Amino acid sequence: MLDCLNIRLQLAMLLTFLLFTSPSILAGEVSQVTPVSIGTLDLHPAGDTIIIAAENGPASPLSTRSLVTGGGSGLITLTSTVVEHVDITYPESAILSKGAHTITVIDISSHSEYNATGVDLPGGGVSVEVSIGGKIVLPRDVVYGSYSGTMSIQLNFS
Amino acid sequence: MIKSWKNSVYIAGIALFGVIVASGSTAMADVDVDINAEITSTMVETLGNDMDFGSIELSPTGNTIVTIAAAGGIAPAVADNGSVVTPGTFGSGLVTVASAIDLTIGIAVTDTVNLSGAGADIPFTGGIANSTPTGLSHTGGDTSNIHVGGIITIPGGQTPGVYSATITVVLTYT
Repeated sequence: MLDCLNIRLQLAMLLTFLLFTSPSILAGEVSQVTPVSIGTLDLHPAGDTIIIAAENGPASPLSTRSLVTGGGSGLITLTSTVVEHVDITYPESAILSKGAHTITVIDISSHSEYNATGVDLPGGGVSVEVSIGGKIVLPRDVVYGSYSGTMSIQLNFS
Repeated sequence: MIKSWKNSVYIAGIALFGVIVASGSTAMADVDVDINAEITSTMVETLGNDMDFGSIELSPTGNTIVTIAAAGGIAPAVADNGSVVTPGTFGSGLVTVASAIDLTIGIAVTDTVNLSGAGADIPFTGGIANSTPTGLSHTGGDTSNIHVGGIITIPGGQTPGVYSATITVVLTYT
């Protein structure tokens, strides 16, 4: 009996702490992340520029003179239980590597959504999608193969 | 009673997703997004065959000019001055380009070179004028042919034998 009473008292204290501290608000969360994919590129022998223009939503890679198969913009899905604003800071560039060889994705911010305005989450668990793109300039002598990398996007919830 | 208290303990113990902040403040989080790219080329450049002026039975007098006029396509070797050509397996040389994408092919052929062999060198000229012109338009999915020709001038009384040289075909793409 005494043990039972002790347990109940401890729980009462815990609940009291939660009730009487400053009200805490759960910020949004990232519920899904989809990679950015340049796709499979049959590169023009003189080199080329590939752009994923996702500043207005999902986009496919476009090239001026190469053949692109597959690929698409990246995606992060933001969800929140309350109304809040999220400012998004994209990196200036991202490096993709194939062993010692590298290529660089640039203009990420200008080819991704909400880069200047941020995005408003309506709350109530409603999800908002943010599309991510960029540009890559490939020289004629790029080493063929599979390249990969990671970029870090900063989210500021308020 | 005890059982109901235990249930309450479990609920309070569940991990909370996202970020917990005090009202009126901000929170930051970093999300990592992967990026990938597969870079390939379907373009293949192939030497189809060398240029071959064949076997030439020279006229007993005067110079002999043997021409492979390949600017318009495949061409045999043709001799003047009454000399007779027995063709080799091929006449004009051939380089092929295969690619899945549209291209414009710039072609630069060695214009002059000397064939060396049993006797004095035999000059080769007119490589550019007698080969496929530069700026060849290639349609993706096709194979384009670049024909290579030229002219050799054989002096009268040239020492019989095999004469050869190497010419270079440089391809550029836009």
